[in-house]
Amino acid sequence: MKGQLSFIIKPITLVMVVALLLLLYQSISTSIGRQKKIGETLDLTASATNILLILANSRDCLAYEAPLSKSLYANAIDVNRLDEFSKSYSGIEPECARSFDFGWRITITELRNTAKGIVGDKNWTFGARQFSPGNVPSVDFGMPVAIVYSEKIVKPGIMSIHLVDGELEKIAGVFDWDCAMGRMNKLTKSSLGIDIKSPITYDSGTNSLCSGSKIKSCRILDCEMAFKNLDQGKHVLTINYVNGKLVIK
Amino acid sequence: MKGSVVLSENLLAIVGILISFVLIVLVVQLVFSQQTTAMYESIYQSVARDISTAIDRAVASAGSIAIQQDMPKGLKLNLLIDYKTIIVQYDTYSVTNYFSGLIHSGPYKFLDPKTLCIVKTNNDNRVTITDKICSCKTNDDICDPECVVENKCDSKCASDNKTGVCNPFCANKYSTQCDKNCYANEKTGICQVACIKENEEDGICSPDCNNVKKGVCDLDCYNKYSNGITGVCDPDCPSMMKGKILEQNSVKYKTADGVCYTGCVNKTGISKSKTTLPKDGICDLDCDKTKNICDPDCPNSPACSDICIEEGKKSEGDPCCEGLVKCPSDNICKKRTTLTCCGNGICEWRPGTTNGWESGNKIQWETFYTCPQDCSDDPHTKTSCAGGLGFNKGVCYNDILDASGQWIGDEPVWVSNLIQVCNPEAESFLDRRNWDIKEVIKSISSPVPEGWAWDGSRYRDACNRMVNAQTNTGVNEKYSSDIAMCCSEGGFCDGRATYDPTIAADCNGVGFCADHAIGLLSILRTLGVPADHVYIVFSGGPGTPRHAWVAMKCNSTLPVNLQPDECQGNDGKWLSLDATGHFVKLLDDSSYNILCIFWNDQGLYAQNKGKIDATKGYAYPQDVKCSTTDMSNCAGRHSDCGYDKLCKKPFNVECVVP
Repeated sequence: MKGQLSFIIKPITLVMVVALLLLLYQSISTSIGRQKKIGETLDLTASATNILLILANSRDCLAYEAPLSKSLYANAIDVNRLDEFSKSYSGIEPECARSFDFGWRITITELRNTAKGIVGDKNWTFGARQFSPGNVPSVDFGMPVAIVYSEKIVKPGIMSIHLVDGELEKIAGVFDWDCAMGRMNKLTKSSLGIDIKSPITYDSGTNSLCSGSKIKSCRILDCEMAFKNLDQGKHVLTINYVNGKLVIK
Repeated sequence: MKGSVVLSENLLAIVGILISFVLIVLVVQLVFSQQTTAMYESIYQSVARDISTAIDRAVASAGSIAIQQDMPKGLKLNLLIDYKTIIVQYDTYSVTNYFSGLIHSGPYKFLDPKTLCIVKTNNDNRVTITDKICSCKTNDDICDPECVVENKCDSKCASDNKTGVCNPFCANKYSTQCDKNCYANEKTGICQVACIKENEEDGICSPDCNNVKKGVCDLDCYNKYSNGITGVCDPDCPSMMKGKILEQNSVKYKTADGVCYTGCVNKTGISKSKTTLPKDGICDLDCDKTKNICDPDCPNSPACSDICIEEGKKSEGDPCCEGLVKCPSDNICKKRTTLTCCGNGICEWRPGTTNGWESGNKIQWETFYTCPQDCSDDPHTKTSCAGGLGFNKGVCYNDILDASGQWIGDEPVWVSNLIQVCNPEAESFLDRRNWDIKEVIKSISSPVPEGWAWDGSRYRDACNRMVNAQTNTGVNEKYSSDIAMCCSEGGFCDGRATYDPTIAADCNGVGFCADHAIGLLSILRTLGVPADHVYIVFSGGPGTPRHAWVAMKCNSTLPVNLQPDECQGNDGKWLSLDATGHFVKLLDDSSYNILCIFWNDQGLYAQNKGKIDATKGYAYPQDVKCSTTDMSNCAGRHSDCGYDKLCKKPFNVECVVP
């Protein structure tokens, strides 16, 4: 009887050990995956913070320069530059803070103290209008800024960023980087290996790269391209810069 | 027998333990090997990311800053830093990372660096990167940019013109020695007077010397900013140009050399339409000749008289006085009110055309340029307008969703009462455009407000929200925001459109691509384009973009007002007119690689011109070609159109692909 029991219990024990090991493996993998995702979100937040700070504090971007001392104040932005940026970069990120890894849009709201509390008074916005479709990593947050109208008139405001780390942003980023390097005569050829999840198409009429099948999201590119649309899957692309145009095969 | 059972039990136990052990070893090995491979690459990615973050932190600093960035110990790597990029090379691999800020220096290459010193110098807005410990040593033979952060002069930076480091604590405008590191076409924070040579061009007009009196005129600035171009102001030009200044009747003149220097301007000058120079005691004879540049040092300069045309007088060249507007038909200055220029019996057209408004008057054009009372009897108008031919439907797609709400396909739906040929709004639209297809094309190709906006919210439940041609044309004409793709509902924008509460009401009615195609077809048919030359095109289906636009056939025998510029040299070819995408180009040159059906106010092409027999017809004309860049794709995807629901079910006709 004892022997018969052992014959049944031991294989069951073996199966349970195997099941436990699989569970352990899955648990470790899930935990690593979760950790990686948290790390990515933190990296994204760090990048968004840097972009906001560059925009607010770089002379190339929005920073207000005192007319006499030529010095800058931390997070003080020039209202004239703001008007200029929202006009010139209504559909694309300005070069001074462009990241070729991400796409972003900035909204700056001037705040006003009223009897009902603090309300948004005036808005400026610039940067990319469309982002990769679907559920892609993104962050949204803001930081306080001073909007300088003149040495004597300074108003409080909030500068917010919507930053997206998607496939469209990454591919368009590589093309735009190649374009910039080509224009500077620093690079004429490069290659890119990608695994595409949504079809990528090029609209030569608007010089935009689009992602998605049913509903498309598009980004304006810096250089015109000769580009054959790409279906989902793995691709290795060769990018050539020829006479101000990217030829992609 | 009993013994063999015991043996089997023990054997089983041993085998079980062995298998378990092997499995444990395998799982642990799998986890560790995966981790090791991933970890190895991720370490180098982290290095690249940390350097990117440090560079961006330096760029984002409002003042000067030095950041020490150590490399992880034990790692062997090479670094390349160029325009917004870091490439970390290790073994035979490399990882790339982008940073966001502009460093205005580089490229840099470091072999096996142990540390990096990243220095942002505020005076010249540069970030300098070296592979050493950040320190300012003023007594060695190396120029340390860190000294700028510590407000010290490192004389090596000033003495060596090749360092690229402009140390403002060594150089100042009174230096007698030229520090070329501080002399550039962009700001370095220091005007290097010693670098500017009299009567000598070196290709540099330093913006740091803007408005700085230094006793020498920089010929580079003098030649760059002339004859109406403003920019860097060199107050020594032309007054300090030796040999060029003459005095006559107590007036100093600069002799004519073809350059009227306009780098310096008086912004509170006489009029916005004229450039006024500052009073510097020199009358520039080159400026004196011009009509639009006023030099107050020139006696009796005609450009300096504050001339404006009074009410009721004709304005030719000089502007109307404040509060008056020049009407384009007769150029008479009239008091600026709503519809000021209407009622003179002359039909005025869009800005920039003959008898149209001057450019810059777009706002007035948008609000009161339209003068129906003037245009109603215009001989250009309505000659060919004969109303629609009965078919007024448009088509849109509804989503087919599965039980969990996921999109699984498209359901084409025909909607009635949308095409409206010769409706009053189409006629007004054409009145404003001189009944000329070239002007229509300018409007649909231009960005808003002249072009067509796109209401992103209409993609939700589209078939119940289509707008007819009259409404759509009217709303688009009145739309004045620069947002090309707007959304009237905050929570339902589709990602491409922007919701702005301040213009949400203006977006309501601008429609989406199918509405635009219906509006544009109605306009072109109102204009007189023959029915067999213009159709709405509809594309879509699983895996292909849904879209609607207008196709028109080029025909050189049509009247001149129906001849788009794009048709020149392309007789017989088909054009795509896309009011949503704001472009017009040859159909086979556009990126459309799927065509489902053509239809217009006469019905489906398959039912009239394309009719084969009583039961079937061609979906679109046989001479129409898809995008030539992807023909194979085009041919293979026609089945995606869902012809049973587009043609057979609603109209009892089988659509056949030519």
